[in-house]
Amino acid sequence: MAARQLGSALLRRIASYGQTTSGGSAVRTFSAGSSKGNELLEGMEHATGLEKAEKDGFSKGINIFTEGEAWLQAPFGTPEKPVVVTSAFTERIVGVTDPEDDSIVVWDFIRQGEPPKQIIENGEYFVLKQVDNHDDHFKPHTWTGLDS
Amino acid sequence: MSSSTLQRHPFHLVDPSPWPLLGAFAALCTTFGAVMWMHAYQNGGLLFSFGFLSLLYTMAVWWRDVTKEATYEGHHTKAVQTGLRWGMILFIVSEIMFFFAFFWAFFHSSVAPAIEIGGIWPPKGIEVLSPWEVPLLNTLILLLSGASVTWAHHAILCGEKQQAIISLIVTIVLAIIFTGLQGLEYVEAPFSISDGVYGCTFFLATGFHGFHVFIGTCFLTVCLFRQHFGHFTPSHHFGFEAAAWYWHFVDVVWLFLFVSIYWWGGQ
Amino acid sequence: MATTVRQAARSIGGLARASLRNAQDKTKFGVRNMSGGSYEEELANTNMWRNVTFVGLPIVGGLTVYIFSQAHHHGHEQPAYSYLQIRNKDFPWGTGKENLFDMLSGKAAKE
Repeated sequence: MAARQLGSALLRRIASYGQTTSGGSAVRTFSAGSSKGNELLEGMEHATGLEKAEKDGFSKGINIFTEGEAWLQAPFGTPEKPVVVTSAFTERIVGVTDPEDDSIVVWDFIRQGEPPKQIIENGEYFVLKQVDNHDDHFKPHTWTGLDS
Repeated sequence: MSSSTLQRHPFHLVDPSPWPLLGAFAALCTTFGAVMWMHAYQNGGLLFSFGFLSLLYTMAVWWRDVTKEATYEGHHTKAVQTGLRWGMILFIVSEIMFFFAFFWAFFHSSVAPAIEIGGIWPPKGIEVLSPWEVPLLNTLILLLSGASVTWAHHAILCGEKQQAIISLIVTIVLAIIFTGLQGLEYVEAPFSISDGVYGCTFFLATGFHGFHVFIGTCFLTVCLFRQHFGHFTPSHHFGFEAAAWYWHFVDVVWLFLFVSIYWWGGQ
Repeated sequence: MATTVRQAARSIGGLARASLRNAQDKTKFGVRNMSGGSYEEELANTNMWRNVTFVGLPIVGGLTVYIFSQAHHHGHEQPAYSYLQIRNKDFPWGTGKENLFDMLSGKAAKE
């Protein structure tokens, strides 16, 4: 019987152990009643450098690695009215996605003075237009998606 | 750090490091030294010791650098963590193949025992260890350590730092007890690695398992210290997860060892 | 020819896409990678596994005491079969004749 009492005392101790530690951790990263939004930011106090930038971006709802990517916005390029690709040089590499699988990008050169060029079957037509050699082409890429 | 100097991709391009070269050199010295030592060449033991200590040093400083890059420099973005996950998965798959080979050797010799060992398994003259004594106890110890490492994982996931430390200590103590009991079994064993194909396959498989338990124990001990210093957060603790995966792998290998070598192979 | 190449690229692209999506879409920030639970669910899991551990510890302790209280019966001498006690060359430790664990435990010295 003594052993049984000891056993139940031990179990009570085990049971109470969880309650005492679960409430009072001083450096917990989020409160117990937190909403989903707060939980997404848990662990922020640690993050530094790129990891912090990634998390900060996420808290604003953006992916800092794809934010601000240059996508060509133009009407569908036909042989009569091709998409005009600008470049500081006499050629530029253009990629088009495969219509059946947009994870595949087919790349090709569009060169100055060539007739409208189609990169994939049934795809758009492109021509190159050389533009002024602006200085900012030679500056390191600057990007403002992450001011905080 | 201003935003314009941040990289535009989530991947970690590592800095040049001397550790791969030093590690390769240390591994070369270790293997050459071990062979020379076992074949009684002069200074073989010296080369082996030098190589092995260099290897341990390389492991310590290399992983110190990885911890630095992850926790203090913030290089481990979500994409990098995914890469680390794949790396650990592939590493454990390669470990499975490693042990698969030893089980193959064991079953090759035991399923159809050669006439030279009496046509029976265990071979005639081999007195085996009973599976229902220390091996059974070791099975329960490893299963329990699997439970306590899961406790540690959930404690980290909900930010219970104190519980995470206690559960990691429980896991490590169980791991050390396992290794101690295996050492005791090795001393007590009535056969040795040079007692024919039984001793050979037995000590090769269980010995390498024991060595992996030791590695897993070191891995978990590093995690204990990192938990103590507050490196792990509920959303970023892959170092611990990798240790837990590795520990479960070691646990599963033991279950196979117990069932096939100790139990089936000991009848 | 071009179609075949594109088909091959498509299947490779499928793999690449799967891993990219895994890296960028599915692995959401802050969502715990090995559990989808809230704090309360995680606390319940923590408590459950702590209880499993604390129930297991006395079982293992008891089994340890039981097993070590049993008498060990060690066998009789075996005839010297040719495939036992193989010593093609000396061990690199001790006198070269004893195996490592016999030497470490001092068993070899007694014999």
